[in-house]
Amino acid sequence: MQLGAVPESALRARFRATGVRLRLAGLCINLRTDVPAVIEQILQLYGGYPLEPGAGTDDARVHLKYASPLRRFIGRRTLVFVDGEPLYRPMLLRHAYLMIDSALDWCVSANVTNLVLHAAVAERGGLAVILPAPSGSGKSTICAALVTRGWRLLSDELAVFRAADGRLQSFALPITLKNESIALIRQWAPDAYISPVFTGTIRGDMAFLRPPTDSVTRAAETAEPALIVSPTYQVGAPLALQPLGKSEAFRLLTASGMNYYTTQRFGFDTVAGLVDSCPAWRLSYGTLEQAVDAIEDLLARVRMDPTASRPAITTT
Amino acid sequence: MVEVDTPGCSPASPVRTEAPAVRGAALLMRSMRDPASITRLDAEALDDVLYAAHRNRLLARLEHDLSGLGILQDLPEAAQRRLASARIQAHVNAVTWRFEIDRVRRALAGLGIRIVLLKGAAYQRAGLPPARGRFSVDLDILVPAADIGRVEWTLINGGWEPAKMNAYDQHYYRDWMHQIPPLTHGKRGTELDVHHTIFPPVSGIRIASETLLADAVSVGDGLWVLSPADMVLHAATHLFQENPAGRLRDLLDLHDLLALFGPRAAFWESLTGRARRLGLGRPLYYSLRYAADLTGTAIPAAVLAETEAAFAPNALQLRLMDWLVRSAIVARSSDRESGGGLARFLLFARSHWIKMPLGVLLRHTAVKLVHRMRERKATEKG
Amino acid sequence: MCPAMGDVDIDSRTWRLLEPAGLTWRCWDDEYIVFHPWSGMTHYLDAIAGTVFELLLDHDATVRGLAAALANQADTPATDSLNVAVRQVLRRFDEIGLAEPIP
Repeated sequence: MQLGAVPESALRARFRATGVRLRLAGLCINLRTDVPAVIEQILQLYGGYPLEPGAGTDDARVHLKYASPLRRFIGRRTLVFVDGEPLYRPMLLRHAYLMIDSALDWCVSANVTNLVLHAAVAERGGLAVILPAPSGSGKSTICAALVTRGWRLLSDELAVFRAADGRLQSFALPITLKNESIALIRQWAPDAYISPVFTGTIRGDMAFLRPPTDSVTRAAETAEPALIVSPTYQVGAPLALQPLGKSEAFRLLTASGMNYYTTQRFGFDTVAGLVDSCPAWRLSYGTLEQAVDAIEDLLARVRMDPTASRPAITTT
Repeated sequence: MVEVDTPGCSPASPVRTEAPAVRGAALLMRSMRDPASITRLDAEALDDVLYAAHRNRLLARLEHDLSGLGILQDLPEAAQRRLASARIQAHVNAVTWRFEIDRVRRALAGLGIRIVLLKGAAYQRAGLPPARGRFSVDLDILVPAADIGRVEWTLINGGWEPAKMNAYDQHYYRDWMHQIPPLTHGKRGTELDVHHTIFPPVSGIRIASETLLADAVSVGDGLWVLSPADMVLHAATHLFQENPAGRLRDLLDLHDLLALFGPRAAFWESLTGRARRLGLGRPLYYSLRYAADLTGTAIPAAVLAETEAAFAPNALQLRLMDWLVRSAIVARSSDRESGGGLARFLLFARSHWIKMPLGVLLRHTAVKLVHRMRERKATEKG
Repeated sequence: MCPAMGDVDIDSRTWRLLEPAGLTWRCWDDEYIVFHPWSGMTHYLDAIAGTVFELLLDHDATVRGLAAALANQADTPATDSLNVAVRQVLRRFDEIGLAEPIP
């Protein structure tokens, strides 16, 4: 059953009492809060997400609440707990939703049965493009541009590789848009739902793009990693594509770590296998059209000539 | 060996009308004693146990025991996944500390002294049962008190860095504590605690490092672990002279050690004799009492009676301690659950009371408070 | 082992990889990426360090022996600067726990 299909009053009660159980990246995460404004935002952004039935084992529990009983009335700060531990210092009530978003990222990285890398992932026709890049390079923006042009969102933040076969799992949270990219995506996809803007956060203005329905309903489908593209956005810059060296790609994929260290040999083998088998490119772009066209073109090449895209392993 | 009656948590008793926290704690206690019992729980109770085990850092240990019994696959998929994640985390933790022990060994090898591994490092290197599914946050070693300066200097030359400390904190460690200020490796970020004895001298209990080193047992490569009696006494002081709130894992360590060493010839005599000589009778008494009571450890009735007669506090104090330990030893969540708050606070206050004479404690608290206020002022300004 | 090892110490010893069981690596564009299960860490090695690593995989060796093998591979004479480079590599390997001098 979908979250949005439960009568609203029942859902609110469940958020307060036992928590609502969401399936994300193959995990079951219990989300609990008694902060009405946050429940409102979750309903807007997560309406299409599948709910896990009744009781069962949670992989993690996320609980957002007022920092103290008094904080409900004055000061208005909230705290988020993951499995009973507070994750950050108390934040302003109007930024509370941001804590939920980070807490969910945290939960997925903390489950080390999967390899989790810092990269955006989108899929088309069963093949996935992985976009590793440091924060602020515009990977979420490209990801938003792709998924509003028919690609399926796997994640704008975390690439989640399943241990069994190294395939990519969907972790399709709403896409985080920052500062200029909010207006950029509004213009690019006028029909998409974008949350009200959270102003004055540590990362400036932030807003969240609701993923296409298709991305949410097909969340159980995994995808095959096929292409690595490291994007850089520069206003007005011409499109430039350069091959990305394999060791460079390895560094980029493992740079911000997430749970790479903890997954040990599985992590190394997965990333090395990925770098062996997927063509990797560095892409700088000045407009979203250019970037989307270029990535679609690269994926089409992989699809047409699968052998060329999987060069012989160069291990000695 | 006598199986001791365990009023605190027989399988049938305490799991009825309590709040989720208390139910989780009782279920966890039972599951650690009898891991197979968790396959009979309903979905909600199973979730409570796994959550409580996670809070108490016991998930990987539970996984190890369930796996050993061959019943992991009887659990729901999500439970298996959660346990598998804990197993991997514990494995990586073991890899990290195994390597770190080796690094410390190599750094100090030239000094030609006994390096005694303590706590988790000792369990891991000696292959003792408390090592299973363990999650350590630092490495503890014991060296001869006379060599502590050389050891510190050698480590600092070898890439470990002393914590930045003000003069007061330096004085706190150097003059009162059983260890030098913690060292952190500059590249690997791992923490190393170098001890010269196992209990803070400021308490009035002074245990010469030579006494402990003389009885230590070699585990090869120039590394040593404490003798069985000293290892138990160290675990006992670590738990009961400090704050036992939320430390079920440490009580289970004691359970494991007592279960392993108990059947050995003359173990109990050497344990009680050693406790008497070192002035650690009280923590030993508590350890035996609560291990028998809460984790069902088999302890000979004569040993219980002997330690009770020799080391127990007065009846009123004992009753208070019983209540404190039973209500606070299982760590609880700070969000979904409540209760045990007063017991936790009292145990915290007690741990400082034991470590320091009252005058010293009051001064310590006052100085700490001033420092904290200064720090806060500084952060607000900056 | 003295933590700050002098050149003489490094030169006089035979070196071996530390716990090489399960080592796994890739070599791409003259850069080696090595996963060392003993330390749990992933190391990035440049061409010289990578070649020293491969030589040690094959057999234990001294600084002189490693420098000679490197020179042989590159078809150049074994110079002092090559010795210095090998020494640096071994000191670094020792730091990260990848190799050690045989006691």
